[in-house]
Amino acid sequence: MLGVVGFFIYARENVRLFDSINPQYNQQTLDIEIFTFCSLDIVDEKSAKATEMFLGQLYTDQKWKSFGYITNTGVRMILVLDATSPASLKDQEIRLIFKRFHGYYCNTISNPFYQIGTPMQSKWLDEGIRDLYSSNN
Amino acid sequence: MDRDSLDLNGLSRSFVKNSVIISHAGVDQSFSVYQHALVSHFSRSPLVWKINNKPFPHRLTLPLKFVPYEDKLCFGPQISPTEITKIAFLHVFNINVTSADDYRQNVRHNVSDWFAKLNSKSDIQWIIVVNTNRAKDRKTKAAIMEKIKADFAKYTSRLFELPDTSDQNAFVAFVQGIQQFLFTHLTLVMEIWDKSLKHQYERRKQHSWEPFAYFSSMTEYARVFWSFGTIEYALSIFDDLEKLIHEFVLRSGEQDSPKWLAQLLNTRIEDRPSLVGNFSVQRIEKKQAHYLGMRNYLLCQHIIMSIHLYQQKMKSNDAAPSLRSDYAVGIMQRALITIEAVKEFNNLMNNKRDIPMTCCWTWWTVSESLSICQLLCDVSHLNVAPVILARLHLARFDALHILAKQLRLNPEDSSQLSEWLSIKPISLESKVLKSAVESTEQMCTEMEKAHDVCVASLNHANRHRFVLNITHQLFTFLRNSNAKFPLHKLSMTKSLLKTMPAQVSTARMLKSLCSELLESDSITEEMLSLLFFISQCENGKDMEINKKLMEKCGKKAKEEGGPINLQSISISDEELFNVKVENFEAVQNTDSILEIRTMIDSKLGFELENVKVELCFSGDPTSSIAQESNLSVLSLQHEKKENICRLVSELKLKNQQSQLSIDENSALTFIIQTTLPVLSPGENEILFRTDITKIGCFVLEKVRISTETIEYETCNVVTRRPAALYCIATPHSVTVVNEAQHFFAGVMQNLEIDVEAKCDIPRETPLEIEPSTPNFQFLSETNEWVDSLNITLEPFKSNEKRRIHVKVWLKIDSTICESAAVQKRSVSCLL
Repeated sequence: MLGVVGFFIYARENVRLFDSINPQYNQQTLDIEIFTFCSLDIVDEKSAKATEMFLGQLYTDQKWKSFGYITNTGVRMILVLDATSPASLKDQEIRLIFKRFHGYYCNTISNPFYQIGTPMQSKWLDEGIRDLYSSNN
Repeated sequence: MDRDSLDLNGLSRSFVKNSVIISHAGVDQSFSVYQHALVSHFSRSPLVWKINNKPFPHRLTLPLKFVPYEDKLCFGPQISPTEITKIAFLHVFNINVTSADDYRQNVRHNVSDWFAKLNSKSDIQWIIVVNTNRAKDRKTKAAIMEKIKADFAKYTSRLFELPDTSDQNAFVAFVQGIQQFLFTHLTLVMEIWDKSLKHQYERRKQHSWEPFAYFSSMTEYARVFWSFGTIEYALSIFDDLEKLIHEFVLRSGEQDSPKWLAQLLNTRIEDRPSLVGNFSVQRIEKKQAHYLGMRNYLLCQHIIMSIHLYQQKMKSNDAAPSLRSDYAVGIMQRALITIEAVKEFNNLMNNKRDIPMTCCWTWWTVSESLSICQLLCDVSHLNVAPVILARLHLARFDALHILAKQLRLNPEDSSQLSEWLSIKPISLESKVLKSAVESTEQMCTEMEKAHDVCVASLNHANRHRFVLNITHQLFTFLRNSNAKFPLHKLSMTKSLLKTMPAQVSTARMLKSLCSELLESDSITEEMLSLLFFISQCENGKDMEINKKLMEKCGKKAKEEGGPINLQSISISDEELFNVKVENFEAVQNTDSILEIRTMIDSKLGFELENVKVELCFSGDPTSSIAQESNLSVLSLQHEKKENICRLVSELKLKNQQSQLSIDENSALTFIIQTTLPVLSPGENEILFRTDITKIGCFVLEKVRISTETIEYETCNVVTRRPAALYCIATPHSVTVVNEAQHFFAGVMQNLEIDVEAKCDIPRETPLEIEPSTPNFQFLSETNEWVDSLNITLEPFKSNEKRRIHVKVWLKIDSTICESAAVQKRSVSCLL
């Protein structure tokens, strides 16, 4: 098990647009959310001098570690992994996950009825995330 | 070494150099003079070392050390690579004779013995130095040299005549000769060592690989180059070693992960590694070679190397002005990398056993590394890398927090940990930690201290979210320990709240963090902002928070003597109420009733009771909604004198003119208000009805929504047409139709009055008819003759015209002129 804990999307102003926590970690939602909230500080720091969309590892503590990705329009994506998971994902694998995640996001905002900047509720996105959980577990 | 006595020179001296050993045999008092000259020359002159005919990228300075000859100093196949530094690079035999006979009788056999020992071993560098200064003349000197050359005919290149002290060229040639032999030996041993390291490296994935052997060989290899002054190269070797070990740790979860990683994990931490305690440790022992010990050793070496580099650069001419801070940041960065690597090792290897010890080590490593940096510059005011400093303090707080949690879960660990902390040498940090481990109260105090330092550095690094997180952790711990709460540490400023997204998760986090604060009696603006923000995050779903907010607002309103402005406690700049005014009749007559239908969209998320909503119209000529909203509005102005038009900023215009006071009773203000029992969240349709009592031209300036405790004003009003109101006074017409008719005295006659309403008169209107002279009387509804008549008219529609018939008669009295029995009288009607 590679321990993908959750996916989060934040708008440029750090307003949360989407969040999904792996059902395995439902008991620790508050912890994960606080951890992700802290990671936003580092996204803010890194986004100013980012030369590519993948921001690398953001923060790690005893339980979790987070990775960041920022789109050209400033939308922030955060992936949270279980830091205690025995097998860790390689950098290239994490980039690949983000690429797919970004694809799902693009599909979702392509919906003409979706209003940019509002919380995302999409069957496609949910299915995509489920797919990411299953393929990385 | 003690932390209080730390100084750069002391740290620098803690590294013991690996010397280039040169053994000497034979007797020559004068050679000792040359020893000093050679040591001085080689330690000061950086030399180019050619390996495989290619120059080594760094210049070497060789620290020579002369020792008497011993057999064990000779190089041979039995020497392992790590022992290479313990053998002599060069063997020197000194000959000091007066004549060839003296040599033959007293020295030759000694040289032969010495040579025989060396010659029996391969790859040994040796030279013979002949001092002929005692010879009587040149001829004798030449004879001595001839004799020795004859004895060592095959090795004439290894025979040196000790140069005269005044002969510089001869000395240079002598030094170059020695240098050549030293480099030959260095090339040889380094090739062997490289080969050995390469061989070990290739076996790294095998289960039987010994990480400690490779580690000690590599560190020794790096230390040799460090001794030779190539500090950058040695640093790169240490970096590679760190990367290699870390790489294995990262891949520990893979199936082909070697078993030696598990063995590394099984090495128990029995010593107490620390920076200050380990600076003087030159080589790590096998029992100390647990992951923590190895990383601690590497960090110590890195720090000393950084100080050496700093001192080297300081002496050079190209020292940058930021040299001190650069090296301080470098040390902090290295400490951070090491701490995070150890944390990751424990995480990935699921090493729960060593977590308390790792936490203790992290705690004092941060303190000690910062103390060392403090020797270079004041790190607390370092603006170059506030993030690194913040991360170090965060690691320190995290370590203490994890330790505290661990000890609460397993209180039996505290005695074992306490013993471990008592291992000598005892430092200030270990003493403090020991008392914290033994007492929960002390632990709480230390956590608060670590928290305060960490918060200051995190704020300096603009990591405000982290501040909340660690305060949350501290409060959770104190809450669980039933300790006293330092509520003053929780500063929920508006600027901090502004950095948070308004969403349910934020509310949940804030409620968890500030549970004690929310229960307090505080009614400060910060408190109200916090409550209001939480309420907004949850869209008003938490009734308890809403109730608390309204209660506190009520108290604050009482204290301040007026309702609290929601804008002053709101975090978001978004409007809390959106007002939409539907079209209404802009031109109104006095006495008419104005109806304005509005839609108020409340974003509060909770109900407000007994709400007064006011539409404030202003007759001020500079007033407009756009100006109140600070929008940029241009107005067209026509200059009559110059006959030109200008676009002028309305805002500018307003600023130029004096502000007129807005008073409800002022002729320039027109307020329409209504009171609602409940203003629900979402859309509320409100109908305003009012009499037009003022004449003038008004524009909607703002909408004010207020209760007893809170108020809100907005200029953000959506209208399809400009919300302007023109109140004019157009009198209704009342005409006596038969005004021209002659009225006869004593006869009841009919008076016809036409009443026309110019606008809607939605209510009953009194019509008063009064005669201009007292002789007229009117027949009332009760069939009585009265001097003046009051009639109530039914409501009128716009432009409705009605004819009213009134019975009138003129009294007959003596004042009336006889001839003119008939008088024409006018009747005035007042509507």
